[in-house]
Order: sequence, then C-alpha cells, then structure tokens
Amino acid sequence: MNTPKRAKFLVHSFLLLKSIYLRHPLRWLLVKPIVITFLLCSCGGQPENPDNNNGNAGNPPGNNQNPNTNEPNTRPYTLGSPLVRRLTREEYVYTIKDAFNIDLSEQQKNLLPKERSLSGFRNSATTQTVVSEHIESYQKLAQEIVDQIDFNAYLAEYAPCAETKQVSPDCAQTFINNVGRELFRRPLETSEINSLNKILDVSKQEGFNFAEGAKTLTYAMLQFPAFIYRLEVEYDQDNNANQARRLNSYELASRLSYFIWSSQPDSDLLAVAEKDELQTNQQILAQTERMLKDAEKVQRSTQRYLWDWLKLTGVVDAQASLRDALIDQYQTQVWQKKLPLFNLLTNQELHLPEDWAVQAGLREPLNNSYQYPVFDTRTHPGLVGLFAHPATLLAMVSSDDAEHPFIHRGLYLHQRLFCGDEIPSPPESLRTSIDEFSDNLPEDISLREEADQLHAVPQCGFCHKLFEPLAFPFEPYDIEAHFQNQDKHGNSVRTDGTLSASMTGSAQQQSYKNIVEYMDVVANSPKVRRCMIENHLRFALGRELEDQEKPAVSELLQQLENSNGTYSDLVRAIVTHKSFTEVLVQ
Amino acid sequence: MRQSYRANRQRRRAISRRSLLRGAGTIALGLPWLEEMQANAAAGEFDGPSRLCTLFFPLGLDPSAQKDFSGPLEPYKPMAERMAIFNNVSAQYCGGGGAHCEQKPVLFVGENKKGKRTSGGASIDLLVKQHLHPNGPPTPIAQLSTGVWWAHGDCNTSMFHSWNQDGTVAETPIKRPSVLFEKLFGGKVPKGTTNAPDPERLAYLNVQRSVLDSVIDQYDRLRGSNSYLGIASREKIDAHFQRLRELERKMVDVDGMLTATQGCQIPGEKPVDPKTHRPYEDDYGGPVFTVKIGVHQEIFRMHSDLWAMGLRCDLFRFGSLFYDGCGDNVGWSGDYEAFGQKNVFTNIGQTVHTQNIHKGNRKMAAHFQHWVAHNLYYYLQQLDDPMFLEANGQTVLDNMLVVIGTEYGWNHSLKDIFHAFVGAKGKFKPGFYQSPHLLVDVMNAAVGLFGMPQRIGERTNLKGRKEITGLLT
Repeated sequence: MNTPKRAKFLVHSFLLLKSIYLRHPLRWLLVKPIVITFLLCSCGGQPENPDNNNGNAGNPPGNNQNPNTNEPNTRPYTLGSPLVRRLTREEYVYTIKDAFNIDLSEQQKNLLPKERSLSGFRNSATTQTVVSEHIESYQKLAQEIVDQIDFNAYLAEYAPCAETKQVSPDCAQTFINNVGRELFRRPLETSEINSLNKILDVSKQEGFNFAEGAKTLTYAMLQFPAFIYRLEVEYDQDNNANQARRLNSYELASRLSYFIWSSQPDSDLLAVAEKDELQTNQQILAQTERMLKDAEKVQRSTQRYLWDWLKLTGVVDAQASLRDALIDQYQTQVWQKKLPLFNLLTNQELHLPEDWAVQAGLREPLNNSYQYPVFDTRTHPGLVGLFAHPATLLAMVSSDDAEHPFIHRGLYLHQRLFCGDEIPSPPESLRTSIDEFSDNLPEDISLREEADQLHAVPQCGFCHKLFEPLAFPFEPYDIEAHFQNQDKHGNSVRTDGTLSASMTGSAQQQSYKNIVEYMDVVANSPKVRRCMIENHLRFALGRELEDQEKPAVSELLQQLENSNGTYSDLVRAIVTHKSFTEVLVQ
Repeated sequence: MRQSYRANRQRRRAISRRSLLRGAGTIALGLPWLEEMQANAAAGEFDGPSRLCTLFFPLGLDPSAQKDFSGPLEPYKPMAERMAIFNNVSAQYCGGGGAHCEQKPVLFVGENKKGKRTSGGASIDLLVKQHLHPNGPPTPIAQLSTGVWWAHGDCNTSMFHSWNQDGTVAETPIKRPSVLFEKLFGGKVPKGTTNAPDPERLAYLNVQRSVLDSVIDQYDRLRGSNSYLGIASREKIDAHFQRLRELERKMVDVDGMLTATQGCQIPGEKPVDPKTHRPYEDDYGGPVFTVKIGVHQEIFRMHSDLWAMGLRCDLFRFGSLFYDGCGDNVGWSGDYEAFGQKNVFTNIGQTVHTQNIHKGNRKMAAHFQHWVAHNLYYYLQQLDDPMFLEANGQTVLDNMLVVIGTEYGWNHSLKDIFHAFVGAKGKFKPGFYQSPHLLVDVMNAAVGLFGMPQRIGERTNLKGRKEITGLLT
C-alpha cells in the first residue's frame, strides 16, 4: 500500500476505532491499539507529508529494515555508480610526503580548503566539491613543493641521463615517464606526454635549462587531473555501458593504497601493477599483507577513519589529550593487540591521560609503554570500549546542549553506531505539546524520569523512543564526561535499561544493568555490526553506498564473522570483494 | 518608482560608509558583456535577463501575513510593482522528509530528492547557466554561492543551494566577506600600478602560461563529450575546469584588456570580517549559540555590497546568496523595530525558531520575518542602484532574475511556502499568485523567463494544484 493510501487507511482506522472505543464499556482495554494505530499514522517517517512516496512506507523513522526478517529492504547487489575521487586534504598531504619526502607545513596544509562532509566521512566523492580555493592552492602548493625539492638528487633518481649538459629528447622522455608514472599512479597517456612536451619546448625557447624545465614539468604534473583525481578511466571501446568491469592493476593499486595508506602506491605496488599482477584475489591479498605491515602508513588511514566515524572534531582543543588518548587506544587495539573489531566496543583497557584517570579513581596503569597509559577499567562502573570513553562522550554532546543530553547522545549513537535513518523534524502540533509538557515538569526530577514521562506521552514517545534509549546508560555522565552517581538535584542516576528488538536488529529485546552490559548488547547487535561494516566499506570506496550495494555489507559481515574478526580481516574481505575490485562502465 | 531612488540612495550611502566597501582607491573596469548585450538586442535574439540569483531566507513566512505589503513583506513595498509572489507553493511531493535542511536539495530544484542528501536534479542557477552558456559563461567566475550561516546541529546540508544534475553539491559557499572579496577582486591589478615586466619575468610568465594551458587542456579533454567518464564524474571535472578558467582570466592583464566604464568599481581595500562569537569556520555540527542580529546583518550587507560590485563588473552571472542556513539553531540577541514596536530578541529563552514556530508566537514571527525582508531588500536595492545603469539603460536588477525562496510555510508545513520573483526586465506580470502551485511550477516559471523550453521535473501529487499561467508579459 503506498504512503497516501496507508495514511488514509490509518486515519479511517483511527476514527473507526475511536468511535468504537468511546462507546465500549471496556474501552480502557482498547486504549493501547488505538494509540499505536494513531502513532503509526502520525509518525511514520513523514509526519507532515502524507503525499510523500519515498519508499519508506511502513517503517518508523530510523528503521530501514524489514520488520519480519530484520534484513535490509534492498534489491539484489549490483555495483554503485562510479565517481572520480579528488584527493582529500589529508590524502594530498600524505601523497606529497611519500612522493617527495616533503612534510607540508601547517600553513601550507591550511591553503587547502577544509573538506566538507554531508554524512560523516570526508573522503566521500559523492559530496566532494571544487572551489576556486582548491585550484589556487594546488597551483601555489605545486610551486612551493618544487621549490623544496632537491633537484640534483631528484634528477639523479628520475633522469640519471640528465647529468650531461646536453640533454637528449630521449632523456627528457625518461624523466617525464618516470615522474609521471609515480605521480599519476599509472603510465602516462599520449595526450599527457604531448602536453608536457609542449611545456618543455616553451621552457627551452624561453632560455631555461633542463633542470629548470624539469621543475616546471613537475609543477605542471602536480596540477594535472591524473594527479589531483583518482580517475579509473579505461579507454576500451569494447566495454559495454552499465556492465561491470574488473579494475586494471594500476587502478586497483590506487584503490588499495588510498584505502590502506591514505596515500599513493609505493614503487613495489606500482611494479606489481606494471606486471599486471593484481588481477587475482591471491595477488591482491599478497600486496595487502605487505601493506598492512607498514605501521606508520596504515595508522594514517585508521586515524582518519576514527576521526570521521566518531566525529572527533566535536572534542574541543582543550580536551585534545583525551582525544589523542582515544586515538592511541584505537590504534593500539587494532594494530598491536589485533582485537576483533566488535571487541573494540567492549574492551576495558582504556588509554587515558594520567590526570583524567586519577580523577576517575584509576591509579595504577596496566601499561605505560604506549603514548598514553593503559588502565584496567573493570573497577570503574562506566568506562568501556570506544563509545564509553570520555573523548567520545565529549564528541556526542557539547556543554551548550546540556539540557537535552539524551537527545544529542541518542541521535549520535543512532547515526554513527546504528546507521539509523535521519529522524525527521517532529510535526508542529507535537512539538508544541512537548515544550508545554516539559515546561510543566518539576525542575528537580532526573533526566531519566523526565524522559520516561515524556515518552509516556504517546505522540512524543513513539519517535523519541527510537533513539533516546540508546543514550540511557550514559545518564551518569555529566556534560564534561565525568561519571557522577547523583545528578545536580541529588537524584540517583540509572544505567539500566532495555533495547528493543527493532533497535538492535535482534530477535528479542535485551536488557542491561549497566554500561558494560549495554556495550555487550550493542557489540552483538546485528544492526550495529552491519553498521560498522557499512561505514568501513563507505570509507574504503570513498563514496556513499547505493541501496543496491547493501547486500555487500551482509557478505562482508559474514566473512568477518568467519574469520578472527580483526580490522585486518575486514580489510582483506573488502579488498577482494567485487564492490572494491570492479566498477561499472559508463 | 524611479523618483524614490535618489532618496533611497542617500540613505544607503550612510550605511555603506560603515561597510568600507566603497572606500577610496577604487579602480574602474569594463563590462565585457555590454557589447554582447547590445549585439543580442540588435540581432533580435533573446533579450531576457542575463543573470540568475537564488536568494534564500530561513524559517518560512506566515501565509496569513502575506496578503498585502503591510505585514512582514512591508520592506519590499517599494518594489511591489516589480515582484511576483507565489505564496501557496507545495513541496510535499519532493520527498523532503522534513522541513528544514531536508528541504535544501529540493528548494531551488523542484524535483523529488534522490537520497537523503542528494537532489533530484540541477538547481535552476546551474540549469539556466548551462542553457545560456553551454560552453561556460564568458565571465571570470562561472558560479558563486555565498551567505551567512551558523550552527545547525547535524543538519549539514543547511548551507548548500546549488546542486549538480547528478544530485551532488555544486558549490561550497563562502561565508567570510574577506574571502568573497578575494574571490571577486583578488586577482585584479589596480589601474596605473602595473609595471611592465622585465624580460626574465616575461619568460617566466610565458612558461606559466603554457603550464596553465596544458592543465586546462587535460581537464577539457576529460569533461568533453568524448570522455569515457560517466556524467557525474564529468560534472565534477567540469567544475574543476571552470575554476581553472577563472584562474586563467585572473592572470590576464586587466589594465590592458578592459576599458574603463562608470559601472564597475573595484574597492580599494579588502574588507575586515566583523567579529563573531564563534570562528567563521566553526560553522556546522555545533550547538546552539547566540548571534547579535547587528553582526549578522552587517555580514550579510557586506555580501550584498560585494555581490552588487561583482555583478556590475560582470565577474559572474549565476549564483546563490542566503540569509542564514535553515533550521536556525541560533539564539539571536538585539532588538528590531517594526510595525511601530520594538521587538527584543535577546533572552527569549529559546531560539527564534522555537519561539516563532513551535510556540506559535506569530507576533515575534512577524518581527523576525520583517527583519529578514528588510535585509533582503537591502541586497535588492544595491542591485537596483540607478547610478549604475547598464548598456541597455537598465539596472543590474532589471537584467537579472532574483528568485527568493524559503524552506517551508507556517508550522513546518510544506504546503504554503513563499517564493517570489524580482527583476527580469519586466518579463513577468507582478502581483500575488495565490492559486496553489507546486514548487516545480515555480522553478519552471523561473527557467521559462530565460527561454528554456523544457520542463524541469514531473508534476505529481497535484491535488488540484495547477501550473502557473498568465505570468509572462
């Protein structure tokens, strides 16, 4: 039944039930079905928009699953639309570092416009834009980079033949091919070689020597689309539009390196690509294993992932040590301890700044060999995993939103941990009721009591129950992420609660007594597990997933659950999945 | 109408002195499109508006207050005879999924959204640009998006108004007036200050020129019809190409190329951004905080001044300007007088959004909307300054269509949304178009004024809503 018909049907059902109810002597027994029927109508994802037909009929906001099977409502898997990907600010910086061994200064990095994201991950090509500042910064940075290059060493490496005073055309071509292959991550095309030769000719005509010409060529290449963008263009007339084709070895080399290292392929990877030895899963996995061993480079990528996933921009600089401790914890647990991915949510060895740990009553660190000391938090009632780490709690809600921590924390968890749909703005009639209701509550009741009372108002509860309960166990945490047993009014705070089956995607509702149990429920939630895989796949592909690609998430989850479940296992599963190795021909 | 310009101009000058954008040291530039305009008129070709601006304001307009120009529309009264107002527009069919930022991919597009944050097609500024200039406009800047916005929770689409055909964001907007100034005028060399380059410098410039030519050539190759890239990717590469062309034009020696005219004046000083409570860059994903209405107004007016100057210099022809994002997660402070009464926004306990809409405080809503209109009118006034008539004897505003829009009607309704047209050389009949229409009808009417024959999107869920008729003169 489409949405307008459903709405009409439900309104009529409501009126009918209401008339029965008003006449029935046992009407108190009927109150619940009537209320639920009404709410399904008023809060069915588009409360003010009965004409809407965006395909979400029958589900409340935040639930895109088939209520009968807990499986996503998706079509069979096909590849998503291909998109060129501009190097992000971080990718550009790392690429320059790896290509030229140049660390761009903070001032230079800031020339590149801040990446904007509509949906969390800043490497999403779906939302990448190009503004004038990009073009000007690429030009300016290219100049500054070539000025920093030691051209004697550079020419010795890329054009050893140029040592003689008279540089032959062949030698110039050697330079163009060698530098171009590294910067473009593939051999040059004829049009690119022709363009670069024209530049060299002009340079020669204007009286510049070969070293100066080589500098200009590098300056130009740093602005070419083949450097700024990952293009994945296969010039083959035989490819049929809208058919999948396997990426060639150079394209796969770039995908691997920007996913695993956030940077360009190294010379080994390019050499493998040159031999076309990235065409089987075995070949891809061999390179992946090698790449995963480069601790410095892999941590760039995981740090970027964590930063965007947990929205760590929300942690103010004054709390930077907490944020850095969380990153240290994540990197350590992923790369050194090699914990299974879902255990990152439940682990009770937290990295914390010393002063913060002392304040939380944690005195003896387990380990001091990492950047931040590691504390066993089993004696603490509320410190566990990534999401009950004080840095994440700070990212969830800021001091300016102190009045409604459940709403802000709940929405944060709903979006980032459960991948819930956007919760639409409540209709005016309901919001007025909520405001009036809140104004009339006693001032000294606890947050949980206030939420319980608000949720008991059916019109409010039906929507707010979808996300606020996700934040209930965090009630003891004040707005500065300090654990308190009582709130400011002296009320005891609660950490217990229940998560419904639809929230977790499990077969039945699950109760918990404290944050540790809550995180255990969450880590085992099918919905959360899918969400964590989906986020990694979005990050790996550098774009948003389309509906028809969602089955890939289930396949990857299954592979991960059949392995040791570590981050490295997930990387292996992703890089050999066809969503990663294939592309639609346009 | 025209007689009132002089009095208005006197008043405006008092404001402009503070804005420092009309300081001493201005230089004159030519209007490259004057000849084009004259040639078109002589050849009997399309002589409709040559520019399009979408102008957004947040939080809707109370439909009950729109019947004449005595309510929140009062500031527009001097332009009443040049405005077409559509105050019963429905966007219900567009799959907005909510009333604020969820509407942004729909607002100046009129088509059903493709996804949460992807529009169903191109916004009208891009469509008209493509229609009038298939190979890109002949201006230094192809497209502009600027405005003022603050924190909007997780509502990250709040500041985006220009959308590509594939539904992706076309323009990242500029908030700082100083950055807008740099974009518009940063590359220009004041007249009389350029020295002839020495031979070494000239050689260097020639090489630089060849590099830029090669880079542009590479992007051009990828964006063309023979490209193997898909449409969405080609659009992204095309955006890069257009920005490179802007850079190329900036490299041209302005002094030698352009002829001085009265209309175009480059400000001699870079404006200083007004101080704000939060850094300009800390613009979204944040909590509620307070903004002084005077500061907000000052920033917007600086944008307005720069837009007017940029348009007079024909630096760009298409873009979006906005007076705050959507949803308004801001607690305003300050007071504003309208309808003979002063309204104090300070310390109302909630955002104006909550007061206006959720508390149903129509009086405050009217004051707020009056204040917004007052400032949008300031922008329109700058475009309509009769001191700067163009080649056809018209003001910039006459040669341009400004499409004003907001995200919803009253109480988050998507059924009675306000839109208006201003300018466009009198190509439309002014007045109130109160019949119920769809958003796509308004967008079709807008692009129709540029001679675009094709319809933007499908008309669905009509519910008695008809296409706009009788608009054209």
